[in-house]
Amino acid sequence: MKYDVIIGCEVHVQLSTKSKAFCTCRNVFGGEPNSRVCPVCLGLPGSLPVPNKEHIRSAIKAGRALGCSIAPLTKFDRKNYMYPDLPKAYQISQYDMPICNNGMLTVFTQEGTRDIRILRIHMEEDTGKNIHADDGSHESYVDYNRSGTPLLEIVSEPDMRSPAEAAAFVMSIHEIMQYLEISDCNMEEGSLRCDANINLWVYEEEKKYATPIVEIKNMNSFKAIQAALEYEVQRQADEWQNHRLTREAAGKSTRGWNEASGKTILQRTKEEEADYRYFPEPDLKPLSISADLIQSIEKTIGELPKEKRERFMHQLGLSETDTIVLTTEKAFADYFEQILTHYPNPKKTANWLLGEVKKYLNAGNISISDFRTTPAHIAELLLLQESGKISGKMAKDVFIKMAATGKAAQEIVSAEGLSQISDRGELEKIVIEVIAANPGSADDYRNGKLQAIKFLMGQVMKASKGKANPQEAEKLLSEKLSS
Amino acid sequence: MIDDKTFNAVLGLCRFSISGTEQEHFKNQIGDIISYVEKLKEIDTSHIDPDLGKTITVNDLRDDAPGESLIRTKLEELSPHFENGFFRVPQIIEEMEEKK
Repeated sequence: MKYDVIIGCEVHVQLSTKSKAFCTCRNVFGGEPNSRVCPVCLGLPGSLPVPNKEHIRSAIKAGRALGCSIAPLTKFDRKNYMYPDLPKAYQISQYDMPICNNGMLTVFTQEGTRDIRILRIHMEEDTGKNIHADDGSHESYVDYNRSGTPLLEIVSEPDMRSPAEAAAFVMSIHEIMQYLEISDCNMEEGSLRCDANINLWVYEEEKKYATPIVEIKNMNSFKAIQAALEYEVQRQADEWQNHRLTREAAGKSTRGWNEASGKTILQRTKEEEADYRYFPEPDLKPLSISADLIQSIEKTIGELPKEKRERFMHQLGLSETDTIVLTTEKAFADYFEQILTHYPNPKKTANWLLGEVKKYLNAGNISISDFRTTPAHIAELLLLQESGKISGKMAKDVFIKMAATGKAAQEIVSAEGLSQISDRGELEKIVIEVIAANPGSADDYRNGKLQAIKFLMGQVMKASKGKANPQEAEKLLSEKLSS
Repeated sequence: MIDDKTFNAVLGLCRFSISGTEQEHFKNQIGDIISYVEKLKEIDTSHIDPDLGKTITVNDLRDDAPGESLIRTKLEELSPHFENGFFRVPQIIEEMEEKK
């Protein structure tokens, strides 16, 4: 069976504005149910929405970062449907005049690169949350805290040709939104959600058949996106072989990804567009967007992941692997660059961050923004090591103490008397004592048993309580033994 | 007038179910409303510019500043089905049996 996989994605991004999209209720995650609701986001009669400037600014920022053109005139529309988490029975969204149009995002996978066209980005509001009662009462509980949260919906053209490409697309959107600092992009909390439309083009006897389009929902991680779509490719291929249903004959359906069973499950038949009865939102005036506003927002975009990676590799001379790990999270990349302002050695800094620091953060499941040690403290530690004041081994121990207490490197080094002995005079004294106390090993070395120096070095480290600078000490030892 | 197919589609979208005897009654009422609104079609709008921005005001926006929300006791007053901080509503079944 010969076929192409056709995938388009819709990514919903919850914006981290201070207030909701059309009312002044606070916009944060979670909290006591229905503790952030008001007549507007509960859809009470007589209440009127007022758009949030920051919603519009974020949309323009995202649009420009994805190469979209910004509509000089845009408006909100009502999307009507009945569902308990939608208290007005319509969602304020945008229909035929979205704020952003025609962008492009290039994604990278093992299969190569592909340009994915962005059809549009529009502004809308999030719904409340239903929690199904499990007491057999056939009732649900609704929490409207999320109702009215500002969203961007980013819609791609059906340009992806594999589940891996779809996952890479969403990953890239996730990264860019995070770099723009308009969303916390926390997928576990639903700040970034993805639905995908998928079908197959089957080639048989020089004819092309399109299988029915399926919209997949409830994919809450990059891994889930890939797994769900891979399952769906197989399911649609099997369906084609068993039933030969085409897109024209069967229309569109919605399936939810079930993580536990690893399957997609049929949900309510999707409404056709006409069923949503879109019409211009009469409670909101259209928006006119000036070129000046667009320009002033463009200035705030800053460096995007792709540009940062190129700079890290070409200007800082870092490897591609290190660069990718350093730049996936903007906060982590910023931390790295802040160290460089005090300690301009990119390779050593990268090694430390990706080694000791990453290990510590991962072990404690700590995010870089919650990390107590400042970039300046890490720089100080690296300088202490480089100047020979502490050894590499000491630096690692000091780091663990710094991370646990938030103290500066020098403070710990002084308090614990950790500094390394590099002074020639001081080291010489220790070395002469060790040679005198171990004449047998010294003779062995002089008689050509070079391994004996290892034992003597151990004695030097012991006598100096681990503080001797090992390189200097070994140099002195061989000097003294050969003289 | 409204045909049976459209009428039933509208009922479905509104999640309404009405008895057989009421069907004709409401169908006639909706038919009346539609023919009343259809009068608008008689107006010649060909000379009116559909561009929204030229004749009406735009950009009624607010700053992104949070304010007060409603307090719990107010919500309890508003809804007869408010329980443990939640609104109670009839359950919607999301997942259906796979049709074979």
